[in-house]
Amino acid sequence: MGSILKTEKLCKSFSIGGIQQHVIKNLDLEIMEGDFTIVMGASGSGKSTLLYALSGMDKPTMGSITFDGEEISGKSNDQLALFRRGNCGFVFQNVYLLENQTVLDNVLTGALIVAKNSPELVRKAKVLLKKVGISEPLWNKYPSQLSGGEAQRVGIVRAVINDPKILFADEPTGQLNSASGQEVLNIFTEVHRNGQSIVMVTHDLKTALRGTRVLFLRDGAVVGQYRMPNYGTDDLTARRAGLQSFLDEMGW
Amino acid sequence: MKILRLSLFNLRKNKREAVAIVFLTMVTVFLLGTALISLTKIGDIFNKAYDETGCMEYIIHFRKDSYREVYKDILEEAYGIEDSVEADGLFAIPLNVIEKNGEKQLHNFAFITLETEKKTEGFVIQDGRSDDEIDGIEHPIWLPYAFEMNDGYLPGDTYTIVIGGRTYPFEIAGFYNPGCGNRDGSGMKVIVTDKDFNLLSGVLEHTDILAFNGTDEFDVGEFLNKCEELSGENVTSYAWTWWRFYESQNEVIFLQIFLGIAAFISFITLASTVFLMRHKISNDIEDQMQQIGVLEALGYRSKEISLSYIYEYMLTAAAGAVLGTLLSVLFNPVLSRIAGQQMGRIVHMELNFVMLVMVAVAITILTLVFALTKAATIKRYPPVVAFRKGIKAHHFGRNILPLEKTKGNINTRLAFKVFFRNIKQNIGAGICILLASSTLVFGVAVYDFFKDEMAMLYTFGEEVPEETISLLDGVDPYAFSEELLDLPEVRKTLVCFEADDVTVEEIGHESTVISYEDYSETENIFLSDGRYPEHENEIGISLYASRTYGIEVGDSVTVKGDGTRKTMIVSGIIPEASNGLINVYLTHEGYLSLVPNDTPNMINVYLEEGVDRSEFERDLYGLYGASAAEMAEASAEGSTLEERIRNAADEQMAVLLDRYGVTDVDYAIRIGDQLITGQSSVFRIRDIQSYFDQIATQVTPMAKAVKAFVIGMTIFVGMIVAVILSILSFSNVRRQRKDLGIMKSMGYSSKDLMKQLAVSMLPPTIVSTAAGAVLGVFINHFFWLYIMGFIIKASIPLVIVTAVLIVLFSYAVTYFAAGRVKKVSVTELITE
Repeated sequence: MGSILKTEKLCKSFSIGGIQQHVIKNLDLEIMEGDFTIVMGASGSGKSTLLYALSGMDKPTMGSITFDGEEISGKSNDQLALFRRGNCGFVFQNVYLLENQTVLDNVLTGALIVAKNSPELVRKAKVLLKKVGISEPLWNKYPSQLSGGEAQRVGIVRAVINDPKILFADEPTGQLNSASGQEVLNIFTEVHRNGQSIVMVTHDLKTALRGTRVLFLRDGAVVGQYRMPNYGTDDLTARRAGLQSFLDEMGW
Repeated sequence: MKILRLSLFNLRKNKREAVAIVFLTMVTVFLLGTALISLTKIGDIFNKAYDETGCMEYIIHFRKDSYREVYKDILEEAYGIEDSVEADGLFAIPLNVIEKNGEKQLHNFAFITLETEKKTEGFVIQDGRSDDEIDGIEHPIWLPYAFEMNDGYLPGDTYTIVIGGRTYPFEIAGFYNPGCGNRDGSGMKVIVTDKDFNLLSGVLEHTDILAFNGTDEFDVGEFLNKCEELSGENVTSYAWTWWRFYESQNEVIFLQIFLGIAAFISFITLASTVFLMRHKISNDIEDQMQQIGVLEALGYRSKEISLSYIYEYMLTAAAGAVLGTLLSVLFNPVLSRIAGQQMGRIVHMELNFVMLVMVAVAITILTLVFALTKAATIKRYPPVVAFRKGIKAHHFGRNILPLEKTKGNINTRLAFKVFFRNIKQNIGAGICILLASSTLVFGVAVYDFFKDEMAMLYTFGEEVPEETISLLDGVDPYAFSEELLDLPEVRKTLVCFEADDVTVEEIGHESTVISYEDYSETENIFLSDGRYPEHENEIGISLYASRTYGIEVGDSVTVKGDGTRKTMIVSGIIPEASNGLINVYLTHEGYLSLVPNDTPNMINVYLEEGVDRSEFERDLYGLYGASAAEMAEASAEGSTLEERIRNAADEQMAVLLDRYGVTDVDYAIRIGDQLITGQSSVFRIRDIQSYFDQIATQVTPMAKAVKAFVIGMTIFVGMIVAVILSILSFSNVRRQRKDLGIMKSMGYSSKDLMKQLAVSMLPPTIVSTAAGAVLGVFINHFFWLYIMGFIIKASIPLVIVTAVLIVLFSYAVTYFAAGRVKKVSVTELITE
């Protein structure tokens, strides 16, 4: 397994009321291909900011980000958009489906910017939708007609339709009830088992248990990391204990 | 108060839209206020300026041999006009003048003395030299003030007229304000001393002037008929009338057209203002739906919340109206100057402040009413619905253009989906673009026509050959015409008359006669209905006369000629813009049946393309000798005694032929044993003139003014289109920023999204522009045909190019205005 994403001395700061706030500070990080990386930390620790920087949605203030061997930190906004097209998928906490488009169109909007329309592509979208439990009657529904869980599952299909090299997720279950949340996480697990690299931000222990590696952020820096044991088995108890112990150590 | 605060907040938040609405309201009030006030006042303005000159209402120039003193008695007896004045005048239609730039130009003049001027009007000097200075001038001349205002002449400048090849330099003593005789078309009245008047009497046509103020029952056509009845002579054909009413009509017509167009543009800006307001209110309601829900939950009634929008537009519309009013006030002196230049006299456009304020208030109220009807839609959203962001977020409509069936570019497909989603907005934008593009197409068609400053000539309903040769009496025009055709420079010749005027009784005024044997040979006389006259009893009349006097093809009219009176059938209607718009068109036979003693004595000469007119004239003189007019003024020079004698004899013959109507001269001169003989048959040409040049001097300033106006109008309307589209594009970005952010996260670049937004505006733009182009062509056609009485055809390829350019311009504006999408940040969206 090689490195897919690497940062060196990554910094991100914001000017709020004329005062510079350093959210990410000299962060060195490496994400390995096929890993399911969980980013945890207290509110304001810089988790989401890191995720946007890594996914090319935001530009770092300083430092470098190398994606699959290609430096992306110096790219323009339009170059970053092109970069995201083929390489990244993104699942948002608020889902962010296009309200004026049907379920199928939402998925295809993400797909058709990368590939030309073809029966195979449409078939793939439908297969994926079915796979996450979005049945045919829902394909022509609008987002406002879906439940939160259904919407998030559509969001995941939209994120993975282009077979991105890496899938980013920002608290994807944050707005869902427990049952819907679990269903969504099951999809993530299955996607990961199929070889998908994932970086997910969460502050939920149960969600974090799905990952293979946990990074803990404090004040914009990775202060600890934990590789999950026995990944691939269903021995949640052993994993929970290990993660809990790590988090306790991090002062969670 | 809280509601007002919400309005102020909205204003601050959407500064760009607010500025656009202020701008459009300002322009609407300015254009409509200025145009309405000016249109209603323009007649008064002319009257005031005319009254200040003290000029009599009618000044009729009778040719010397056709005036009788009893005509004055008719005025007294038939109309009770006792204050008439008789005087002498000189008419020169046309006369060459050496302009400031040294070039010769033809103008129409009437010369009078200072005494006559003071008898017929007040002789109000606008600018001039002192009396002492004038005393020292050998040949002083007083010109209408338009010469200083529009042509840049100054007191002390030399003004040189050329008669028969001889120059008469005058020194400009001053500029005065004339009532009548202020325009080239009707003859400009210039004042000279008695001494110079007598000098010019020998070379110009002498007239008797009858000047008077009319009464309510006075009719100039009727008066001239009475004169004819009394004398039994053809008076109308030899009388040149200056009438205050005609002067007014001719001076203000173009101003009225310009102001009419300005009023039309104000309706475009008004429509745009209303559309933008309603669009913005829709957007604001959609944007602030949750806030509206909160206010409703707190107990605010929907009426009160609607008021917050009304306050907002009351503030913007009122600000625009105040600025528009101020602009009108500030522009008033400029308008006075423009009007003065157009009318050729100093005028003061009095500002009707009350009317201006009424326009401003009316526009403000009108926009508020439209705003109110839109803002009232808030009542459709009770708190619960509002909390859920109205019904917009709950889209249950049919999926138009599903992506599953995408063929080609996804951006185009998505753009069309946006287009269908914003269909209401697009209809409004489409109406604005339709109005604007029709104005632009009309403007371009007019500009295209006037781009060639001579183009006005082609609307004149008269032939405008490169040269017109008038022949000496006794010369056979047909034989001479055949000879001319043998010259390689000559493309075509047409024999015609220097025709006397005739009077169509149904029209009531004397009309200029255009007469040709075969109208299919003519190049500048077009039909709007019927056919050209082909027989002796057929007549073609002008479109203006047809519309004004209700004469149609097939009607019979009574035509009075030189002692004759005849019924003729109207065979065709011809649009034309010369000679008071009442030309009549006859065959040679038809004309001779009305004026039996006339003979064709002119030849229109049409030259091959690229032939230099001056060179051609030189060649013509080389072939046929100098014209009698030139020869009469030449000096008898030569190298030998015989040559000098022959030249002197030729000059004397030319004087007899040109000025005394002599048809044949033979001479024999003996010097010792030598006998020198000669005859007048060497002279065939009386004069060569270019009608083209003469009219050019009249139409060039008009064409320049029209072009300047059209350029201004095009830029202005273009600005309006740019404002509307950029605001739409801008507000689309604001309204769709969430969707745009989501799409950015998927990898759509800013350029993709800008393209989508711009393409989404293309369907309404294309449809509206196409419809606007068709409308523009119709406006162009009907405007000229029904307002001006002639036809200006719009070039269809040019209209198509214009329409394409409008679409491209609109695309570029929406594309670049959508550049705001670059500022839509995915991360801000996610964290908001």
